[in-house]
Amino acid sequence: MVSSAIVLGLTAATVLVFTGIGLFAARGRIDSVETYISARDSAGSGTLAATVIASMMGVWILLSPAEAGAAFGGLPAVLGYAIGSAIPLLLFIPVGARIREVMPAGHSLTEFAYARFGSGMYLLVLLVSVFYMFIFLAAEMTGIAGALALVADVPLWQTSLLIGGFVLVYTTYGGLLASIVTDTVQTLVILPLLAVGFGGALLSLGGTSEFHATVVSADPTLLDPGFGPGLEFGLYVAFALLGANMLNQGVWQRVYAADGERALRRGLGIAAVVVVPMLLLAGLFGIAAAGLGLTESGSASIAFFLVVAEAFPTWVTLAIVVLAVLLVMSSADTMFNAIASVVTADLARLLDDPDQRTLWLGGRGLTVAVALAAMFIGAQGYSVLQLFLTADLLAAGVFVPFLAGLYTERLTGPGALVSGIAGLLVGFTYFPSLRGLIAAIPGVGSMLPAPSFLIAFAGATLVSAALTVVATLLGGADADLESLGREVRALDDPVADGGSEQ
Amino acid sequence: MTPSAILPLAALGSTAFAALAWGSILLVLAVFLAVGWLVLTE
Repeated sequence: MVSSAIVLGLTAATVLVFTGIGLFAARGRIDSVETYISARDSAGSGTLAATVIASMMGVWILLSPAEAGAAFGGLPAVLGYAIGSAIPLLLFIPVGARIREVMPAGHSLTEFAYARFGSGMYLLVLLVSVFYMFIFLAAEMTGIAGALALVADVPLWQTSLLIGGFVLVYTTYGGLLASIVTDTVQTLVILPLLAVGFGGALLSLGGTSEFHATVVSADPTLLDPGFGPGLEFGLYVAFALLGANMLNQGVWQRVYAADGERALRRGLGIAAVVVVPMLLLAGLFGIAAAGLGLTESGSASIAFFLVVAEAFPTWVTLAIVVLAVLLVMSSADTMFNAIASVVTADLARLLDDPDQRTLWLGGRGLTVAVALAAMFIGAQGYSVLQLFLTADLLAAGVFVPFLAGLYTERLTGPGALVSGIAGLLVGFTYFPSLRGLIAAIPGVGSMLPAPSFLIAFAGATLVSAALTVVATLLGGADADLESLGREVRALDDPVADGGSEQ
Repeated sequence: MTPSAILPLAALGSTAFAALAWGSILLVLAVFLAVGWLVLTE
């Protein structure tokens, strides 16, 4: 085991450097709430690719794909994770262009939900989106705290406080701009670190031939691309990732940050290309953990770090620690600002003509509140997998009718709401994770079909999609999509004392 | 009928596995160079 003092020192140095970068980048440039939660038309294709990669690729990439590889079906499960993570990014290319066209001065997905569908769908989208993003954040904090505890015996609270606290400092000060700048630098460190770290790890496991021989002799299904349970997992995780990411405000903010449609297309396209090998490589270490017999005690959720602790030389372990810290920082700053931006944009509508100072207090106060809650949860060492799956299922049932509102004027608010709720009912009927809770509802238990993640996620998505089509055909809402752009206002009145206010 | 009953059980060969692993590492490095170049030239 690596010394906890060395790991803590390395973590502190990493967070200090990136906090400095974030503070320096935002110095004097945040002069309104608008610039705090929006970086409209500011990112070229390279910056956009970098910030999307950093935002979406949290420390979960070192945990979940490896767990999938170790416990949910080997290579096809990992491939499902990898390809499933790229699909939402590719889908955001046309959807993002449409978002910018329909609501050019927009800030958040809930703003669109309210303007397009009214309060019912708005509340559902708000609930699902914020729940998902907060669980993402809590899972990141839990993941990094657990990982550093495993490789260096660092107490959970120290990791959570150190990383969460410093990210909070630069995000509260510099908002989305600080997040995008630090994301860009972080990606340019993460990518080579990941390549070199994983290359070194492969060699320290004896090279690909020995790795392959070890795994095949332990369980050949781990490397069988056609292994049934792995294919099933890969399919349902793709549905889960699709819905959750389409309701990720962090991506919506970056859609607006793109400097035109070309930057949007290229940036998202590059990000989609690189997430596949990133997740594939991480997943291979879960397969290695299973092949080496390290996950037999039911510890598949930390399979990647079991291999790190068991087989890697110190320099590879330290490189992985820096990589993990950067992955957490880059996702946490995105989620801090994304959750704050959803509520800040809505405050501007909900309050009666609020002044800039009220919005500032709302935006920054919420950033602090969200960060403290996530740091607290991260220090507890809870298992957040069930909550993550629940958040994914909620998103799977809601995202199709929500996005359909961008394309059709015939879908009504009630039509979208009913489609989403019907999708959720189907999803929860088959959802294994909350089976005990749902079965406890009087009269329901005996009627429930056999649980299945695949049917739950695919059912939620496909039923809501089918009903969205029906509601669109039957609907006569005749919503005016062109008027949405006029309803959503920018929040860029300068504060009284300008950029020096920080 | 389950997918595993339809598809033959065959682990990826050693060469294909090596290509997958090292190819992924090279692709990550290539994207790093591309993103770095794009950021520097913005």
